[in-house]
Amino acid sequence: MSMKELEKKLRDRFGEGVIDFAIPRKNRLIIKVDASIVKEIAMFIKENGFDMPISAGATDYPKDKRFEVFWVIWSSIHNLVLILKTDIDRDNAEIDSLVEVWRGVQKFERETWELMGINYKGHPKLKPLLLPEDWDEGYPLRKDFSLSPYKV
Amino acid sequence: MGIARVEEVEELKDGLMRVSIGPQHPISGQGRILVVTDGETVYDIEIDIGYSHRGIEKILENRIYIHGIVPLERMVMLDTSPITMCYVRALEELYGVEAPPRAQYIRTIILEMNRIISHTYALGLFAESAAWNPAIFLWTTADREPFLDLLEMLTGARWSYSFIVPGGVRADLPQGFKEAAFEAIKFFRERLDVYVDSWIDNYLFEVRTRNVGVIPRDKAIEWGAAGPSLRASGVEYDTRKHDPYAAYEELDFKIITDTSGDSYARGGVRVKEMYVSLDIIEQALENIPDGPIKRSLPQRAPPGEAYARVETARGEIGMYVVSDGKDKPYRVKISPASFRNIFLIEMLPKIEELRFADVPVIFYSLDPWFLDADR
Amino acid sequence: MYLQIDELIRFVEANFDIIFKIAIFPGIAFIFGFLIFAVWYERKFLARLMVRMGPVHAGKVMGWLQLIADAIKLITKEFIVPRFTLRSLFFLLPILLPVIPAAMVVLIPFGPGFILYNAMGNGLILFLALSTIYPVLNMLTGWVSNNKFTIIGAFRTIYLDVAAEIPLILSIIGVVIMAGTYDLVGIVEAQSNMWFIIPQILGFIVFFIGYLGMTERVPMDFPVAEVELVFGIKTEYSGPLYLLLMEADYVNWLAWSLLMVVLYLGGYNGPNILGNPVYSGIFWTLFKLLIVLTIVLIIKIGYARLRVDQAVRMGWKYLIPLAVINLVLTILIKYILNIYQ
Repeated sequence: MSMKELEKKLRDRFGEGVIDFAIPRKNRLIIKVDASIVKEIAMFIKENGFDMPISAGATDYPKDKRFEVFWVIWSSIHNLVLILKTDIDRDNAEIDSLVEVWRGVQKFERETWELMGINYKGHPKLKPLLLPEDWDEGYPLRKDFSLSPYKV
Repeated sequence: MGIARVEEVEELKDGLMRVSIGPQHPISGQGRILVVTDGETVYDIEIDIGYSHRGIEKILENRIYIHGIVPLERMVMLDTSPITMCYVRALEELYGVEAPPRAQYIRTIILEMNRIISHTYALGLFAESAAWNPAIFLWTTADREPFLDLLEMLTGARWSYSFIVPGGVRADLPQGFKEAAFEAIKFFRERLDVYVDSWIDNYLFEVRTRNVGVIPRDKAIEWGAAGPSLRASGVEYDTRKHDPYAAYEELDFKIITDTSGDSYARGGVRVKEMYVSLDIIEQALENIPDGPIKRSLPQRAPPGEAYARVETARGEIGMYVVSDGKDKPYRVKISPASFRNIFLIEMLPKIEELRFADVPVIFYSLDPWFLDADR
Repeated sequence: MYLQIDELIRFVEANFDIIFKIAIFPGIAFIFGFLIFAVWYERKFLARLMVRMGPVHAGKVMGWLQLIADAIKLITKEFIVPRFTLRSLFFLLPILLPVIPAAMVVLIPFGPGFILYNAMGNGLILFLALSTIYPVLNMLTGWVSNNKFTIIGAFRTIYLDVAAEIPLILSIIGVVIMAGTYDLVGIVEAQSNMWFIIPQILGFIVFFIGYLGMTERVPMDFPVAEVELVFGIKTEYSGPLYLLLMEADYVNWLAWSLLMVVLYLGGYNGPNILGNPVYSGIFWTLFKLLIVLTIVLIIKIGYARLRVDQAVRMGWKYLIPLAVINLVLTILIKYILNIYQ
């Protein structure tokens, strides 16, 4: 199955839900989707051979008041790296967890929850992982996190 | 680090106890393995990391591109060059340039030497985990010395080279490097044969590691294993082959896989990979082209994003770099191999019967590196 | 009251033999000296096999003072007792533990007629009876320490006992049948023509594996497996108490190694090279002892540690049947020989 076919299938199935579909270079695929249907799209993508999660995270864009949440999936069949992206509101940072789709994203989502403050709905184990036990200074990877040792 | 909170720890059934291996324990390193056991059988494992979290992703956001290379090397001191290579690869993708061919070959040589150094260390620890009193560990530590000397000759440092920079490498091969490298390869190949004879083929070692910690192929893919842990489960996947960088595309080598997926297979894959690495270094040294070694790049990267992957000794490291046109990256997301591999052991008690004495064996067969996972 | 020096000297002169044996050899001084020698030998020998130097600094020749320095350091350390331990047993057990293997050493004949106590011709039975106490006390040291690692180590001690001691004793019966006596001196005398390792080779294999288990040596040293259990049953001990536990460990190793020399390697039998049969007997015993220790150390370098379940399975599935086969063969041979005589 070529990527054109995949794009066609995706657009047929989800219509406006697929915002962007790009192949920036060899072995890369970037799909940007609507946040509300990210789980269904993930299921669909998994059925089409993208089976191995290799990364997940989020980028903070305070100017646009959004988080760009991404999952990176490798396909053992197509030998492709897929970056699945979606935008969510910065004030209400909630997104469906994809742990049910790809078991391996659990640790990445847990980490992003801790460092970026994104609430993954349906994640089985949102517990602190990297930061100290008594951490209460906010989310370090957000752009408004102050690196100064003097807290106001 | 969050597991330590007392109120979050659930009650255990009668006869079970939660044993904390680490953070102060002969094998643990800078992390903790919480094992629920009745003394012999293991019922649950939880990995607790974060004891050496330095926030490297945040540090990189506040440094200009070239300065990011030094903190990155602190992730795995044994295996520094692939990590910098990954960052450099992402940057070169952002800039839209490629390093000159000679630089690519020099990069390949360093990367493979680093792989050998890292694998010898991993195998030494793996032997120790099956209670091989430090003998093997000391042998491997002594035998990697020729490669450390070579790297010192080439880069001026034994561990943190900061040698691979965006656009090329810092220096050319010194005089006499080729001959010294061939000598080291010859020596190391003999030593590898000794290891295989005395240790990999050893009956008791096989008894301890065969059918221990079996990760089936589908589970390895589903849980996102990386590197030798993935290849030992029968997945033929190596970034060097599937998404080639440096000079790997022009060199002839094969991916080592094993089908059994147990601890022994993971160790065996590493040993065979060292043979392959020696071959790759030999080929690279013989076929190295002449030419420039560096291309100068502007300080500001064009806006855009790149996802780069590089095969470190522990597996594939991925870096997602976003640039907004300034001289510092806007966001760097690092997903190291250890972070992916270290959590595999949490899943194992759910699919097979584990013994308490198997925990260190499986743990070191995955070759985790807590500093790598913590970042 | 005052000390009558004359009487004391007369007493010592009259009983010099027995006092020498108790105080010097094979008594207290030998046992403590063995600890120092064995630890030094183990470190130095293993170091050579691991391409490193071992202790070099304390003492001019091969770092021989290092062990003395270590012992002084351990003796002068603080007594650390964890909370919620059984304090009485925590202190008592390390003192009790070295006594039992020391009592086992006492029963060993070192030369012709050179034996401290022959137990009225039942030395072997007394030896084995004493040896059964040792794992129990060892288990108790783990149990009283109130620590998860020591508890797991205590379980493993019992598993090890189950796996190793039964085949070991079964294999020893073969030797007893060959020699026709429980007397250790008698067993040594019976080997004056041929060491029992040759007719009892099956039994020796079983004995040797059981011996590695009883002395907690690689590949059966899982009660102190440092990769998972920190230091197993001895985790909570430090300072002088740890020194005593280590002493117990090494004296136990000494006692069992001597028993192997006596049962299978001909004991003090050997060419009379020192002119005096007693002295050369002692020389041969100690020489064979050194060879046994060296073999055990080479095994330590060359093999991984077995898992508990694997060791128990090996003990019951292979060693016990092998020991029984050996026993049957021994009885048959003995019976046939009796017919022809």
